[in-house]
Amino acid sequence: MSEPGSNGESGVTRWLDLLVSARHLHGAGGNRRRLFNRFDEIFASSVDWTALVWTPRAVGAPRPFRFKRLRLHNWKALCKADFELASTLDRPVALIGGNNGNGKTSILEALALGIYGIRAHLDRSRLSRENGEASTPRRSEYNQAIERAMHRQAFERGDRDMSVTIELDTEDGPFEVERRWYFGDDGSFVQEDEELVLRIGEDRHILSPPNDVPSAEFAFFEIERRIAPVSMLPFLLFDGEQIRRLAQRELGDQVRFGLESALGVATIRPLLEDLSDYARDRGKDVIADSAEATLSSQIATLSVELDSTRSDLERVESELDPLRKRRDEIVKSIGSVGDGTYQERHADLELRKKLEAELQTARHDLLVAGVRLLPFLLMPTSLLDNVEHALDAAAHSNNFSEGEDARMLRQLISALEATQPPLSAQSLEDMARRTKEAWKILIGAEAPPDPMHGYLKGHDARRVHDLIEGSRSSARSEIERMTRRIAEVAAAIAHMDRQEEQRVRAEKDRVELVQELEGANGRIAELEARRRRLDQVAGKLHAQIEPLQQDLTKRRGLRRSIGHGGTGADAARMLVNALQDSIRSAMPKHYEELANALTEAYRSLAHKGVVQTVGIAEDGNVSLLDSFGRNLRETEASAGENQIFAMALIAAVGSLGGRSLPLVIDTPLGRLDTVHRERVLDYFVHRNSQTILLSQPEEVYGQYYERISHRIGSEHQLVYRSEAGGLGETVVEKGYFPRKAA
Amino acid sequence: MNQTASTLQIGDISRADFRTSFAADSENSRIQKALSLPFRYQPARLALSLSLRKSSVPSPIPDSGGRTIKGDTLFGQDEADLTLWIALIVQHSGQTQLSRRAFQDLVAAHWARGMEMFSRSIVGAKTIEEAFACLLEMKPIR
Repeated sequence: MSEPGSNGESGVTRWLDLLVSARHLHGAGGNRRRLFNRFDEIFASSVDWTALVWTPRAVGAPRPFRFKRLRLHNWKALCKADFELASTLDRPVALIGGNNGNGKTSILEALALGIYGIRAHLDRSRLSRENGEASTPRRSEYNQAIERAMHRQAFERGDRDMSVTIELDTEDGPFEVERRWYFGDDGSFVQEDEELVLRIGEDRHILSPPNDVPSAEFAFFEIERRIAPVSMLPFLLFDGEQIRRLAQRELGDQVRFGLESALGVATIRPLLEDLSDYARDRGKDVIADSAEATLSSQIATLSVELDSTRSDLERVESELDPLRKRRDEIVKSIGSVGDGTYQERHADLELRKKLEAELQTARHDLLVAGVRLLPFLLMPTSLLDNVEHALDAAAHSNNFSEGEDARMLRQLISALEATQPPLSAQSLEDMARRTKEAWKILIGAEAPPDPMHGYLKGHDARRVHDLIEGSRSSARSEIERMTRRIAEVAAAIAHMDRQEEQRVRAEKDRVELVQELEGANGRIAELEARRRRLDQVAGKLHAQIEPLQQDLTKRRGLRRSIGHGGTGADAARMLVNALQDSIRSAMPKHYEELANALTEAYRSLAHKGVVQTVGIAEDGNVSLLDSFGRNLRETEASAGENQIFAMALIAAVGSLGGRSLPLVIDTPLGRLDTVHRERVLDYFVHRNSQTILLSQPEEVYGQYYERISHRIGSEHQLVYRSEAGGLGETVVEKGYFPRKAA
Repeated sequence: MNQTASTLQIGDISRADFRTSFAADSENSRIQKALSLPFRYQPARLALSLSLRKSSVPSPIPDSGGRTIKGDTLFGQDEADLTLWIALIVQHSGQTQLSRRAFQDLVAAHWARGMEMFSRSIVGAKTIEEAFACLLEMKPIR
């Protein structure tokens, strides 16, 4: 058989069909080895299983149909039966009467098993299974049921076959399903002894599968396509027991069950279970079932711890790094700040004192010099010049006091007279005259003492003169020199003051830095201790993970080497997740449509007209709302109403997607009160599609019969005929119970 | 002894007492204190210098309420210093035959006028170097 391509959604979807088919072919029975092997083959293909989506197929393609004829051969109590069933639109009701035990339920079963075979068997128990009332059905149970269904008398007569033939009117035209079972002489039935023939068209042409498709899968596909998915069975053929089981469920649960059935999810659910089991099976260790999973789980748990520890470590490191840098900066800063030695500070202090003293001295000197010299810069130069001149004159005047100059002249002339060789008297007289004249010029050139400064007479005017002269020339430079010196000393002191100020500030900074350093060191020590602890924890975790990882790798390698690779398990897990996701997203899309259909059906069936609307919330919760929008479920609950809700759900599910599927109802009114009987009857017989009622004589009679008679298109009754010495058999007669049909 | 008739003698001036007006003396004390000057003669000599900048003869003082100061203190114990100050004041006065008393009055008037000039010149100065700087900035005159 060729595998479907993996391109495109439809291609991927075909893989889902393959899996479903595989399940139907190999899934029944306790041992799923063959099924899982088939899964191995399918999952060995290179497909992106996460891209596989499930899409509802039933609702998307409404395919109304009608049962036209049912023929039974050796089926249970009916050796031979032929029902021509009402199928016209104006009289769509087929009424089949029968006392308890006469074979009404046999007809229901004939329809279900005739159409779907073992799949009906597998699916029919779904409702009770989901309620926890039954275990997973097995193929052997189906075989046994088929064996029991063989008409005993016929077998004893030598018949070895049994058949159900159902003729239907479908959208594609006439469709006939003939299923025949063959038995061994010991009455045993085996799977291979089931024969299915599908015929289509007026001429009953046998429908054959294409060459590359297994006939069973092809037939099943055609049946579901032309009639309904097998999961719709509970909503096509049902009895009071089934309604009871459905009604036991919470309303939201009923809705989920109904919608899953209608959408075909019900077909997928068991597949999901099988796939999950398959994933577990293929994922398990060859030696110990859960060893690998345990290892993986342990590794995962430890890895989470390790990751968390590493994150903590990173956080610690990220805090430590800047702290260390800051510590180095602080240490460097403290070193560069320096607080100076005692000697240095002492020397500075001494120097400053010295400078202070020097400044004081310089100021004193300036003061003394200034007071002495400034007057020479302040007074007018003319005044000073005049005084200087007067003093100079007075100095001269004082040098030659009266009489002394004549004595000096006489001595000079005497010296001339003593000149050798002696001069002539005339020459002497001439030289004396000339000396006298020169002396006179010389002495007489000096200004006479200023009468203004007469007090200078007898005093050393020269010294005073020298004083004024010296002071005038040196005054400015001397004062400026002293002022400069003062400025220099003052600047030196200011410089020292600034240094001191900086030192004080640095000292303050240093104290602060020392405090910060202490804080940083403390925090670093704390973080380093924490890092050591985390390192130890990480090391320990790593040491724990490593051998586990090695073990896991070894086990996986071993498993791969013996052909049970994890590929299939992983693919199955991915597929399960993908399908669950698509189911989750598909379901709510149909809530509104179902809610509307439910509202219509419920309001028709329930005799209390309180419920105006049936609502289904996003989460699937059901509310029964009155005209004020109040949810009646919160105020009252009735088992009877639950049963009505279940019937409404059956009707609503059958009408989803605008179609109206036929209903086969076994003992429909059994547990209902009078009012509900009328409403239920009215509702079901007035539907636009076929309704087959399998009724007891006490159920539909008298007034009830009268209410529906105008809609009845066919009437049959199952009549038991006992045979002397035998079990007796049921025969089909036309017409309802005589007294009623009359 | 007739004071007016007597001529000026350096020895007399050295021993003589000098005083100025009460106001000028008070200002002398204030400046002495403000500039931390140890002696009274120090602001007085600078005041005399400033007064001598003006060519006019100062007006006589209204009172002689100031405290006295000896001539050799006011002008210096060194005779040269003392003589120089006498010469400057006498030269400025332009008077011959100036008596001791007239000299004392003249000094008193110069002291008072100079004190006023000194006060105006050093407004804001807090130290002696600042005060000197103010004085040094004064324009030399002929």
